[in-house]
Amino acid sequence: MAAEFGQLFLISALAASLMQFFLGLNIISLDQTNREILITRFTSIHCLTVFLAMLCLGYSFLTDDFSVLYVALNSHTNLPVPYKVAALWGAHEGSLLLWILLLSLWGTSLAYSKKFFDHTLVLKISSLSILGLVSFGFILFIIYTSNPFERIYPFPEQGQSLNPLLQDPALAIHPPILYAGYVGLAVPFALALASLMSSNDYHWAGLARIWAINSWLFLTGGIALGSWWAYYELGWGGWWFWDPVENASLMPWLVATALVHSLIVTEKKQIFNGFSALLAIIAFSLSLLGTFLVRSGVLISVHSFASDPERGLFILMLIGFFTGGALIIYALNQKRSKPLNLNLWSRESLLLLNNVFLCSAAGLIMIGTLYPLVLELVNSEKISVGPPYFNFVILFPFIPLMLFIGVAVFSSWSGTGKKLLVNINRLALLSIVMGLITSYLILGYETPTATLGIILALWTIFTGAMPVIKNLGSQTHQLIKNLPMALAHIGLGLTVLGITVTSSYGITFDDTLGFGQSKQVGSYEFKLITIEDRAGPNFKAKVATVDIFSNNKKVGTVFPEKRTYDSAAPSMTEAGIDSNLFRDLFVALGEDLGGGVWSMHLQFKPLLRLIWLGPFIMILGGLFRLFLLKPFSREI
Amino acid sequence: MLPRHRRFLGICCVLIIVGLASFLILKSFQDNLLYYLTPSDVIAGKAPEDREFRIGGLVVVGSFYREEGSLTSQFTLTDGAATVNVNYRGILPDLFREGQGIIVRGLFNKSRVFIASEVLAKHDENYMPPEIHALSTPTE
Amino acid sequence: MKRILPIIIFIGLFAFLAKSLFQPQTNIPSPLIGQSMPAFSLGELNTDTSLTDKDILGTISLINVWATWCVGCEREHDFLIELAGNQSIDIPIIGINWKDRDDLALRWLSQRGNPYIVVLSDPIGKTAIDFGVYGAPETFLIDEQGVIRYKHIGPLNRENFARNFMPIIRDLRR
Repeated sequence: MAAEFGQLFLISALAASLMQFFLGLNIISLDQTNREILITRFTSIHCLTVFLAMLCLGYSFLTDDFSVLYVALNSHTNLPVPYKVAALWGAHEGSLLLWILLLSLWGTSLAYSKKFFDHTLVLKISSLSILGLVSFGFILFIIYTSNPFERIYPFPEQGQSLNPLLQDPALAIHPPILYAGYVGLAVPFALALASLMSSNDYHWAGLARIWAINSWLFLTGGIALGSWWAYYELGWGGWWFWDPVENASLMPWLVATALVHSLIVTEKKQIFNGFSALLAIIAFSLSLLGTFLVRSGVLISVHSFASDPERGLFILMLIGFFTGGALIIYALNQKRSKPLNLNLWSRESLLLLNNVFLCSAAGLIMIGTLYPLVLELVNSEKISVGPPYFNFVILFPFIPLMLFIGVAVFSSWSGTGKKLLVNINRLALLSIVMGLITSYLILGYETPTATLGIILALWTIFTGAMPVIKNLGSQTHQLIKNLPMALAHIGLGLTVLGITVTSSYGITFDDTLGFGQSKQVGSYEFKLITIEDRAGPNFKAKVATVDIFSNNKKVGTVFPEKRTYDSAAPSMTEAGIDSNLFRDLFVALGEDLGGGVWSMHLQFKPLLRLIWLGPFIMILGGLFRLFLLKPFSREI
Repeated sequence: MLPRHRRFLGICCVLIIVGLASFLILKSFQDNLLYYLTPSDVIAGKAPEDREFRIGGLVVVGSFYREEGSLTSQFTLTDGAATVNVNYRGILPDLFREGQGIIVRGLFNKSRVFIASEVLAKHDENYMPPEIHALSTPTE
Repeated sequence: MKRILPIIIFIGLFAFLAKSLFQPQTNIPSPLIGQSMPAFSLGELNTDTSLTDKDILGTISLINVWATWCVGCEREHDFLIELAGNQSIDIPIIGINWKDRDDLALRWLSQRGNPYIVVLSDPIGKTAIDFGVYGAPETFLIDEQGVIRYKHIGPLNRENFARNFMPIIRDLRR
């Protein structure tokens, strides 16, 4: 029965979202107060019905109702309960339901936000109406092409269980977090459109910034978590592959970062209104593009399990409608915000410059991701763009970006460069000296790029921390005013430092190892002790014991595994990792080469943890901005 | 220097930097395009000499050879019409098997053996035309 | 003018994404769908009787093209047996053993079980060509009048059977 109820709730949600849309239109004659009350109610009804639909699907999972196709495909009676919950969004249909649930939750948070006043009420009504339309489109998509409540007949006695690759805590919470980020960008999108269509002033910017920061937080968390999962679960110790699915999440992140900064300018200086609106539209469109790339199967990728041209077509139509429509509204809107009279070294122009760099980075990634498609269309050549392309071209926008980040911190609104130079001189010198010391004396010179990367990372960290350090003695709110920015920039600097050092100084290779034999990896010695059989709950495994020595002193023991699941699936590699803040030591089992010798994948990765510590600190910064600064929000 | 001149100089500098960056980006793009060929394409001489490319095909059954305890393996790839000998030093993917469709990335050495730097296994062993099957099985 | 640029770029990108979606994919619908199946006359495996397309009219049935050399056929075999034993679906499966040796085929069926009501032998692959078969396994859904209603490429399993075959079968029986 639950599935039928779920279906019913989904249809109610469709109706509620349509009501939400129509209530925002002027064709219904209502005064503004009533309109606001009604649209708020329908937004919550819409959210509640989607939530109930999700509960129904959850109930079907928990009661092992295999007559529901989606449950039969993704669950099993002996699948642990937490993974039954995770299986809710483990495949296409459920993940879209989650998408809609999150969209309606964000909509509800907008509806009940206390940030709207009389003069911005019209913004609230129109943006909720737009969100209603977005939701309507996607609920229709679910019902037409990917209904999670579809029954099968005859139903199987047992389900096919969740993909073993997905049976992992990090991956179980990864989709909700990443999706929350994707979908959250719908709110700035709706606010931007609402503003373009009505008052067309800067009021929307302050509101949009809250949701932009929120989704930026989730995107940051989602991307970091995904990379961490790839590192320890996919088996081969890489943490970023420039896979289309990864690119699909990185592009909105870059544009969302630009959006957050552009909104600051629009809110404070009432300029760049059009640019901010455009960024909001692009950011959400890239989220939609991400959904399209993952769900339509147009790109070959290690991640994409679901591919279906019909679904791709539907999503493409949604993209065409929403992005196309938004850009037409943007094009028709010719009103100028303010005559621009920018000083090159003022904070607003530096922020603009960096936003351009961020967007170029997104553009370059997009070219590399979509170009293989073009070539296949034009002369049916099968090609792909290798990771070296991305690794190289990303430097072009990022080197000046990192350089100007520090400058922008010390610049002042509408200011000139005169005072600026004095302030940054010392810090620039400090970063260069420290960077040179680190890269030449501590790590040893590798490449000019590595040295430059280290210097720029330190520069970003120092300049980020400086405004806080300078105000250490002053009042609390002076001190914490700069904290979110400082944390975000320090986090970025740490991430870049981690990426630079790991990729320049890391050691990775495949080799053979016999029992009692050892291999040198950098200054570490890996020694294979034993390989034993072990039986897990639903798999069999070979477990190796590898001791790691440094200067003849044992520093750790790792237990890499090769698992064979009971089902017909191929075997899985579980890496053995010994890590601390400064370095990761990594062993993955290859195969038995005979004669007591195994092939193994060995890695030494210095400062690898910074790649995930950085985003964590960035997220802290965002959280500070959202929650700690609230009492002071009037002043800043 | 007049402000007008300074501005002109500034714009020139920006243009030169942007131009140079675009050139390097385009070049990197060109260099990193990985072509995907079949063994027949390779025999027809389409393989690039100086850069890596990829070959997709089936591992000929019975062609896999690896010395005990060695990391280097040799096998032959076929698309049913032509074959290519491949040499690879490293860990093979979990899905690697004889008769299985795989993709290798690498270059030819002087003696026309393909030295693979990466081996990827494809998943579509499930559906197979008989011609290819016949060629990937040793004659009975 | 400056504001029109984004929409122009978008239209270009959109057109291109749309085109990429309509690229021919592996999921090529058979031109035979909606048409009567080609006429054939094939010998039954290991017997002297032969069967023609006229003999299988009057009931909805599946024609499954398989061979012992095909990995995908091994994979779908258990499902075929399950399907053959399923009283509620109740659909006969006709096997066409394609480019194979009779002795190998018989050994396969005796070892793994026989889901087919009849197995026809097509050693040179003539009938398979008429059916537009590229590889094995492929499965055709034939209605009571002998019209091909659906063609599936690759191994059958519970999922794709439920998703692709069941709705058509249900419609046909209604």
